[in-house]
Amino acid sequence: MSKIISIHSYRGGTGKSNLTANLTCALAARGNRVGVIDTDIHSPGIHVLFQVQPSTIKLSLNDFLHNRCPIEDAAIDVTHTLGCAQAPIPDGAALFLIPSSVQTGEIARILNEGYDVALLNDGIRKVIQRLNLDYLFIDTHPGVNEETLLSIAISDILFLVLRPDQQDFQGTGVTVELARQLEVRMMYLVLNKVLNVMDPGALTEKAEAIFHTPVAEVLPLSEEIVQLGSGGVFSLLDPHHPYSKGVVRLADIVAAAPTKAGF
Amino acid sequence: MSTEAIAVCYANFWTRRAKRLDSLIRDLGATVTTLDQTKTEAHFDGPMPDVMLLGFGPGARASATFIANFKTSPWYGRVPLIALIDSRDQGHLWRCMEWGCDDAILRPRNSALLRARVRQWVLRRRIREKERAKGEAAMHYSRRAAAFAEIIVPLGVSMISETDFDVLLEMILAEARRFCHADGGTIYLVTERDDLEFKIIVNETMKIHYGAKRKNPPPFEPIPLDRASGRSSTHIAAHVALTGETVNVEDVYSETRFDLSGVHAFDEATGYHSRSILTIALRDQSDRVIGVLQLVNARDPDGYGVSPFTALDQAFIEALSRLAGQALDSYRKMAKLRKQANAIVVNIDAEEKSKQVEAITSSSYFITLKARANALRDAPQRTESSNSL
Repeated sequence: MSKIISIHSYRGGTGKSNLTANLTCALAARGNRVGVIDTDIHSPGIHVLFQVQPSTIKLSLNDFLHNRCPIEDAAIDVTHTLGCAQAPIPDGAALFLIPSSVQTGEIARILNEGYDVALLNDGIRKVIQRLNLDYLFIDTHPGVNEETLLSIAISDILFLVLRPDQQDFQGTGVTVELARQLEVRMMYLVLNKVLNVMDPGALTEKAEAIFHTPVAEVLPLSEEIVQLGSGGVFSLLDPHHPYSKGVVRLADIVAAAPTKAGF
Repeated sequence: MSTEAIAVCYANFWTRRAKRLDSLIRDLGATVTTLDQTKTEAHFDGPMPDVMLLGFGPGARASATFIANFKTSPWYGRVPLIALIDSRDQGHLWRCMEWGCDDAILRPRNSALLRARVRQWVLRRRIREKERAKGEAAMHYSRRAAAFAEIIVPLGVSMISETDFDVLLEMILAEARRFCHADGGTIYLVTERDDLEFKIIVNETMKIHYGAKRKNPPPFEPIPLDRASGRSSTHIAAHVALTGETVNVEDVYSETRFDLSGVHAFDEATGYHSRSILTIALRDQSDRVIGVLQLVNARDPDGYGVSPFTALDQAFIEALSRLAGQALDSYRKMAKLRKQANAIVVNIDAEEKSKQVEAITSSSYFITLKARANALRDAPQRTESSNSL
């Protein structure tokens, strides 16, 4: 049984896409078949982390949403990304990216015309089946709109990424409430970009008291990740870094989650 | 160098014609100790001479054992050993040299020439001794430097990573004491009120340990720092805090620059004997004095006697203090930053949140999505054709 995991944040710049890329690689590196859909159609970017050049994207999620191709045709095999890790790629491991189009015309069309969100839901189901995925990650658009609500509603696990920041906390409060009303099965907070002078324990306690939601991980603000500049998947390059160890713990949570999905 | 200053030890192994050599030795003008011939087969144990002269001749009881023992002795081994051979037989000369003599003279007849030869050997020995002393000093310095490197590198790493301020204080004092074999020590820190607060006091002999990890603050009032007057203090620690100068007191009881009545009173009350005190400033990254490190009684390596702190001790402890000051300063800054960071307000406006949630949940899209999600949640399994919202 496959699992759908949404990684969402109320505001941009929380490190959501970076976390998605790292988490998908961590699970694929364990021999799983993992897919990532970039539903941030308005400002796509996760392809950069998988070293996918925009010119090599022949078909995208946009093509599927405009009925120009089946969704699996838009999937790019990025399993090679795991090759930068020191460990060999295990048998059975596969990593696919369904990117959003980076062409300005396509982005403008979506902004102007919108799309059938129900079709996105169908696409998510189909790609899981047709690529035989163990895990499908949805890298959402920040904020709350129809597709993010859909992502939340269909997720087995929802990770809400936030920074120790007043605005992030306020927006996450709204998202937590919406997710609760949509009866998402497992919801976790991930505190990201936390200064190393901050007390992770105190911050966790504070966040859990405010949101009544467990904090799955407190990830540090890392100068090294900033230096990498989306030039790769950090945890593969530096597996001993505290950030990478946090990613491994998050992967453990995903792997240990019950496989029974309601729909 | 005059010959009067030379101490010669003379042993004549040739009894038959000893008188000629004896007379030459007398004319040397040196202080001469003559060995008892009955003991010359055994180990030499007389007073340390500048030169050892051995008399040999045809038929002499040439003692290879005596020469070997003498030259291998850790005490006498460096004393030049000259064989005086009352014979023309070169074989005697080679034999003496083979046995280990430093020099050998055939048929010495002139006391002036012998004196010159002895003086040459004495000079040579003194030069060697000086070189040896220099070498030993260099070795000592090298060993202390290696010991310092062994302390300072791990200490630096530990200081950077230490998250407990009290442990940091303990570490600094313990390592400084260890390096100088100091019996005791104190760390003072300059407070925000600009006085000098005792933070940790340790004295091994008196089994005193106040402050830091023990959580028993030293029972002494802070020492005021009177900066306004521009005057130096007669209290050593306050003087160091105000001036930044290192003060190395060799003997507490002959010190006149500072008021050490407190130390004297402590000694009188406890029976302790304070002797040497080394007091060094701890500076922050801006070179401001933020504290003082004071070490008491540099114990001899054997652990019994007490010596003054050496110039080498002082140089190394000054270097260690520089590192310690930076570490303490960094810790304080980090603690301040940590306090500020953790004070960031991350609360949410519940009323505003409710309004936003209400706006979304009342939309037809959300109501439909929620209803369909609930309807599909009970479906048996996820398939491509079913379970779509």
